[in-house]
Amino acid sequence: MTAIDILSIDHDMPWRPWAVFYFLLIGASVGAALLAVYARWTKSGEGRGALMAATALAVAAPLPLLADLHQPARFLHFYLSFATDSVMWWGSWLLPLYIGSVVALAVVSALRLRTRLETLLYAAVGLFGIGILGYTAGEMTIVAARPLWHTVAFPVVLTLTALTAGAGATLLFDAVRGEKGLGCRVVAAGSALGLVVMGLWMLTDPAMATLALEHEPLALLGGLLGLGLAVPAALALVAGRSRTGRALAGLAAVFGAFLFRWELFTGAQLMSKTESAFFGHASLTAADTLRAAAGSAGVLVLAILAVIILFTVLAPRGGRQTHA
Amino acid sequence: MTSRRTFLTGAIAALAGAPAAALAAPAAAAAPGQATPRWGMLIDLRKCIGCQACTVACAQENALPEGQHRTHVPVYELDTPSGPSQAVLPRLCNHCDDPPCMPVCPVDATFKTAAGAVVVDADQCVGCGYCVQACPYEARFINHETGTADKCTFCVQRTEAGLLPACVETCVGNARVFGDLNDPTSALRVLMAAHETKQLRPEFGTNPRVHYIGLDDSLQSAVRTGGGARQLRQSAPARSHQEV
Repeated sequence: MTAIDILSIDHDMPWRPWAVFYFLLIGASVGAALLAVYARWTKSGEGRGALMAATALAVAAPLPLLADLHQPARFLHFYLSFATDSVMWWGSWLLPLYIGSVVALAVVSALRLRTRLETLLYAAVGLFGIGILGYTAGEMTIVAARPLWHTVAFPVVLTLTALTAGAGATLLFDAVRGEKGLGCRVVAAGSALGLVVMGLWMLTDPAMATLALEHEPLALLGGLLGLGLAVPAALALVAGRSRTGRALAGLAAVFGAFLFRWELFTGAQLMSKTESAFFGHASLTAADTLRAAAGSAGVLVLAILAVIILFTVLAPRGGRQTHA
Repeated sequence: MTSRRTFLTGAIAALAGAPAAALAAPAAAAAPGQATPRWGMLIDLRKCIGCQACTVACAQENALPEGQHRTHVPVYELDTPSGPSQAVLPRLCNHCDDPPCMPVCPVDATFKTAAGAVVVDADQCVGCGYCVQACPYEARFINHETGTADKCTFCVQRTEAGLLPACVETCVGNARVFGDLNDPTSALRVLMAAHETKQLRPEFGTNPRVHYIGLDDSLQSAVRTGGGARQLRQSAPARSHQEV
């Protein structure tokens, strides 16, 4: 039996577009950081671009997070509480630990201080980075009231796209620096796997099928599956040593990660849980979205400049090379 | 204390055969020697006429921003075998025994009062919106003016003074009954014993303290809507920019 709502009220999305950008930046940062850790572990010597990308993205991430709070000046309440039942509370501790360790590692690496401290910082970055991936996926997946988030596939694709976005950002940094790096393999494998999981999700989950086929067919089927996952996987496979090809693959991977977050964050929030309220629309050209995009992009540009200054201007000339 | 409302409540309950002891307005603060109450609400949908007096009374009592409501009465048209049928479903916070909104709060701003009402410390809340996401009843929202999570408190400021919640006090059809779930002689419990009651979204296992008489099965869980006001607004030209 179906019902027609004759009278309902309007609600706002509690998580605004700022949240989309936060989850994109921090996820991509961890993806790039784990690539840098892998490069260090395998002593490949190709991890500097990844570390630069991870640092810039990590430094930029807190701004959209704070902006998404409706009482941002009260952020200290996170640290004055002891809400151990809340995944978000654990995240509030993991975030500064991760950012602090990434920035410290960047400084140590840029100054070419190959010491035991550097090894410890790599371990810390890997550990806290995995914690960040766990908390970001976990805090949304446990929300049983959101059928699109409360699935097995959601945290898998969220994590995969975080890794591919990180690798994509690394490809962009490496393309500018004229280095090959490690990003292509991660983009190819992560995007291909993401494509498979997304396909299975759409085929098996009625809520996802509704979103993909009825609400957002163009964005999800064309945008996410096509441009966001299939294209970066294909470009990463065929790019070879082409700097342009690798940069395009990286850009497409970042776009795919953004689109997944945009569609799943806004799509889920616009679906009324009780069919008693109207949640309006979400648009990439709405003032809220543009404000969040401009704010996030602005702080990211500043962070990239700071990282470039750190790695190129402040770094000692002719010093020892690190593995990073 | 006797008010017009308690008098009317008493008269109606007396007609229904409820014990006289159940007729008084609730005293929130337990008197010495008395057990702490466990507040609950019963909504008799057979009596609700969808007049929204509760919506307005709540908004006035709690000084809510324009357009935001702690309780409201959605109106549905149901497609039944015997033809279209109108249904109303007053909604508010269910003050669950196991509220999903509480453990997710990263700053411990959401808590239960001694009487079991789920409330928000607006001075502690950071406005992260996590509780709004977690509530399966869509009973929470971010207050536009305070920037913090907002919800029904069972009018804690009134019940602590021995008064009924504003929505109960104002209900012209006497559809809302408020009382102590621990007290078998309360009007609430008497009515619950006399009628089949249902709770919303039992699949979440939250054990709501808001019970309904006459709730249609199609409205108990996620409502499958086939159009209506929401769809009309979605297709309105002025706001039809959902493309990505």
